[in-house]
Amino acid sequence: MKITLHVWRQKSAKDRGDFETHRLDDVSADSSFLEMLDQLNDGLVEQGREPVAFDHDCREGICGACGMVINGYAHGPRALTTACQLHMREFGDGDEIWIEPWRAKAFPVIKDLAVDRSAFDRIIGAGGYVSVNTGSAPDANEIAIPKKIADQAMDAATCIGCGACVAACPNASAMLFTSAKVSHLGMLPQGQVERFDRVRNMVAQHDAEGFGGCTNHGECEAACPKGISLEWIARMNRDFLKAMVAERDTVSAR
Amino acid sequence: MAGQALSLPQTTIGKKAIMAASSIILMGFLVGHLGGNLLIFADNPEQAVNAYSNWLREFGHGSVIWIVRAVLIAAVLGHIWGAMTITARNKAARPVGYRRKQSLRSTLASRTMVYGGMAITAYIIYHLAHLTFHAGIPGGFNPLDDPAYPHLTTNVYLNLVESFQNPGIVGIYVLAQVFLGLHLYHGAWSFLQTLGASHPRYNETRKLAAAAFAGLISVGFILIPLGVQFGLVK
Repeated sequence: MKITLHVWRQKSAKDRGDFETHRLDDVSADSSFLEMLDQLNDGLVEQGREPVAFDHDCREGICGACGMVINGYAHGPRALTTACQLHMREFGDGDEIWIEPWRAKAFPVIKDLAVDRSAFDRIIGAGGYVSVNTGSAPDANEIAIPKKIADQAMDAATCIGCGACVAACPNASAMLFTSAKVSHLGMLPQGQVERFDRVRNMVAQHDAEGFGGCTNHGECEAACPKGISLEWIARMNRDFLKAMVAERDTVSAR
Repeated sequence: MAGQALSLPQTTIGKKAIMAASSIILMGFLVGHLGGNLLIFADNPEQAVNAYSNWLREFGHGSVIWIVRAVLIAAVLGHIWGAMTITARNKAARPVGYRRKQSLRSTLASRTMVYGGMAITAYIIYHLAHLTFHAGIPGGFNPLDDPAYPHLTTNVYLNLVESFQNPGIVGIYVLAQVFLGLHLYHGAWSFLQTLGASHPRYNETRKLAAAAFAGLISVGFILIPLGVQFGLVK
């Protein structure tokens, strides 16, 4: 395949950045999108030029490291697929492909297509955990959880934290991510103790990071490689409003 | 821990909840307003419209109209405040935009909420100036001194009919209802999601109900200026 790439190049967070055009003449239709970028980088290195920086890790679609906006779609045009699992057969011979980083104030560009997603880590740090006592491991089936509840919690827990929801959202909101992380614990018995503090603190951290708010466009749900549903945002809203309106504050004296 | 001191209106979800709650009041108003205004298609429209207007001012010894007005003004201000603060925040959340961006799920209605809201605000100001403060009625102010309608100083029916015989005024009203219909389609679907009601059991129904509500309200209001313009009002 012959393709023309327009890749976003940006030296650092402070650099303005611009698109750079490259032509690749012998791309295999069976190569993955990231292998195609590897091929581009091999060529750049041979010419003594700086390779294009992009995040990747497992290349199996389960780690959430990769992510770029390809022809206007987060992770590319194929539904329920991360950029690493996208293959060049999705494109036609002679196609032009535009590659941009996730665009959000809360995701500053580190270099080229790599963005700093540590805002997500701080949202998790604000409440995306269950506190347990150390000591001997509890018995595996000590707490019985109905299958349907476990399944639903798992649906939310499939979020890999890639940031496609933020990239796709017209408001650069991270509500889909935050709601998945709030809810997969909030669904389970072990998550009940901190349930209302969790939602309040995680939403507060989401807002503090500079993400936008949800206006129910649904772009995140459509872009999510794991198919996380908007229903989780509704569930988070439910818990959050209850936490703010009805729950006694268990942490601060206020 | 972070955010403990935040109050509801400071949070993105809280702002949206305020917009959703105020939208319930405003949607309720639209139903009542449309119901009353459709009296223009009654057998004796002059009597029906003026009697209805008189009753609005008389109801509860004239107190109810002021209570309703106060609640509506509060709802409108709350809705606009929520929209302005959240829009400013959302614009700031993406300082560098995309060169290419495809929409997958968002609708024309959802993407034009802010512009529709601004158009509707401008229309409300015009509409109040026009039919509440009687500016720009083609035949001029129509004074009314009828003991049957002690609370009316103007012939509400005549103001309406004279205005809607002017195609320019009809155009403004019809255009405003198109904006309103789009705004309502996304809003009537969206407010339940914001308040936490979303379930596969009723989500399809919710979408249809929002479309039906938006369609009925905007078409209902459009019928009034068009009805007068094309002589369907008796």
